[in-house]
Amino acid sequence: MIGSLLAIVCLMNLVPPTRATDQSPTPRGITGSVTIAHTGELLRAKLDQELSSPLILRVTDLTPDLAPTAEHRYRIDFIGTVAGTFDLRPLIYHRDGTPAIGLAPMDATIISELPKKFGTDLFTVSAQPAFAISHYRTVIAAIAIIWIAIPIVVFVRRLIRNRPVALPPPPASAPTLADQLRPLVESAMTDGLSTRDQARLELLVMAFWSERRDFTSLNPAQAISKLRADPEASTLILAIESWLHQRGSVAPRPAHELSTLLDPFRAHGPIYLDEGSR
Amino acid sequence: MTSHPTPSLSLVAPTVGACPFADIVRTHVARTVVGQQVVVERVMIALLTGGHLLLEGVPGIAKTLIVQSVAKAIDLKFSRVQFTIDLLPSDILGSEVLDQKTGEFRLHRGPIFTNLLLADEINRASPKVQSALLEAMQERKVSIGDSSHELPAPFLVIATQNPIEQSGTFELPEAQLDRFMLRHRFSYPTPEEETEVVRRSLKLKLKRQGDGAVPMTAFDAIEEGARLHLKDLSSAMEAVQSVHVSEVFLRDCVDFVQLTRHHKDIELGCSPRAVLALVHASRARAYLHGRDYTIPEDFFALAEDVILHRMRLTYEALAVGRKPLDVVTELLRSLT
Repeated sequence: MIGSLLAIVCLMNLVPPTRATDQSPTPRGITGSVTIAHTGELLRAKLDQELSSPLILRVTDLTPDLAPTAEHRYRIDFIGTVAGTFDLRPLIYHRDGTPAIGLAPMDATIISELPKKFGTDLFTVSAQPAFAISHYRTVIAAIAIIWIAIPIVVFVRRLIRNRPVALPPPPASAPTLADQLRPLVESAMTDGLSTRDQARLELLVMAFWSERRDFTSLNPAQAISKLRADPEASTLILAIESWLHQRGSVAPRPAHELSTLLDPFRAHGPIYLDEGSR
Repeated sequence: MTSHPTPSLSLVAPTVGACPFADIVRTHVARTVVGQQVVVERVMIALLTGGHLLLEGVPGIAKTLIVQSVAKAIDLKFSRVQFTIDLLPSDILGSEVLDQKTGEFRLHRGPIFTNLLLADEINRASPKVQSALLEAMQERKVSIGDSSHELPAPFLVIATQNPIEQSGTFELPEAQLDRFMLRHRFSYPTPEEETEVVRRSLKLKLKRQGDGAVPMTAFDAIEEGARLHLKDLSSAMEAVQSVHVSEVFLRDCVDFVQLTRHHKDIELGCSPRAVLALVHASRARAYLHGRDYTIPEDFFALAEDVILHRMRLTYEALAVGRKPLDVVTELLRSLT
């Protein structure tokens, strides 16, 4: 019995007092953690760790209690700045400040996620000065080009838009009343007129006399009323009325008397009528 | 819309001595009304063609007096209804009332059963009353209860509108305005005419009633003795029917109305009813001027009264200050 107990004690002494959980590689600059189980003197992180050291750690959790004889679980967080595998044990001490000897190996693997050409040290990683400057210059140059190009484009577009285009040929001057009357009167004398042309002829004759008597500013109704009372204009206007509007007078050609009155309108050039204003 | 009457540009003095019928009416009316010969002519045109007339003018320019004078001159039955907001259709058409003695319903005819109905300020009545009147104008009969009743012949509605004081009014929509053959805008009398109005007013004496007296008005001066009668009016209407309308004249009318449908400033052009109104009114005018055929002068003189209320300008045209009269004048000028 006693022998058995001694064997157990011997076995307990052979078992290392510290067990660390496996941990996966941790990227540089990212906090990694490892949990260890340790029996015996309480542990702490090394004081005054250098900020420039490749790895910094601290003990962040301790369970279940502070009784020195129990097995304790420590959570140790670390941040690596240089890629590689590091033993955490040199950075762990007993609470009394003595080095924690006899701890199981605790390796932390720090990896770099940057391309290999950037090396292993996080602090030495920096952008290529030429790279950064060239892009900055490119951006500035692009902005400058756009800045200059916009007013140039606007100016050119305006220049194109305002370019004097070839003017269309001036429209032929509007036909005068005489010009409009002439073919109608000519047709009336020869072939006869359609109803539409007869209406047109009558209204043109009124317009002609209205212009000649300077009634154009009057209302058309007033102008026509005055023309019908005008001793000279009324001769032709009343004759046309008789031709076109009286019952039974549907002849396409005017009678002889009206033809005589219309005759001056056939001539080219100014129309001279047998009146005082001649 | 508020507008002040402007002198009409289509005032063409009627020919005196050409038509005995017109001369008698004009003479009768001229005893009480000074000037306004064109308005009297428009009333006669409406009477002779069976069309209805809408008169627009500010108060106090003898609208009612003219209509009443014309009615007296031809011995027409005359009724006047002042349209108000609370007027009911039965107030105009009539209704069936229970006769307590016989216990049966008896027809009570409204003022519409007349020859000449003056609908004063038609735009003050509700749309229900307006449509009841306009329906009677169109069909020339009214339905009261279960029965339909013919209106007397002739039957003519002369409605008036006040172009100012539009608050509390119901503007007649275009479809209802189209029922009126003519819409004439009164113009103010000339200074000479206005002076004559005052002179005549000063000559009016007192009207004795028993021991009391009231000052006479122009209405009291209307001669009672009619010079013409219904058969004279019927004869005149027959004569108008025989007035010749040439193909050329028809072409003028149709072309003009077509122009109103294609003008850039006109949103709503004139309906075919406008051509009918223009031709019929021109025939009556030709008769009144002693002709048995129509001429362009008739068309030009009446175009404004026939066309203006049947078209509507676009918002763009109104926004730049165009007026319907300007557009019509422009269209007429484009013809000549």
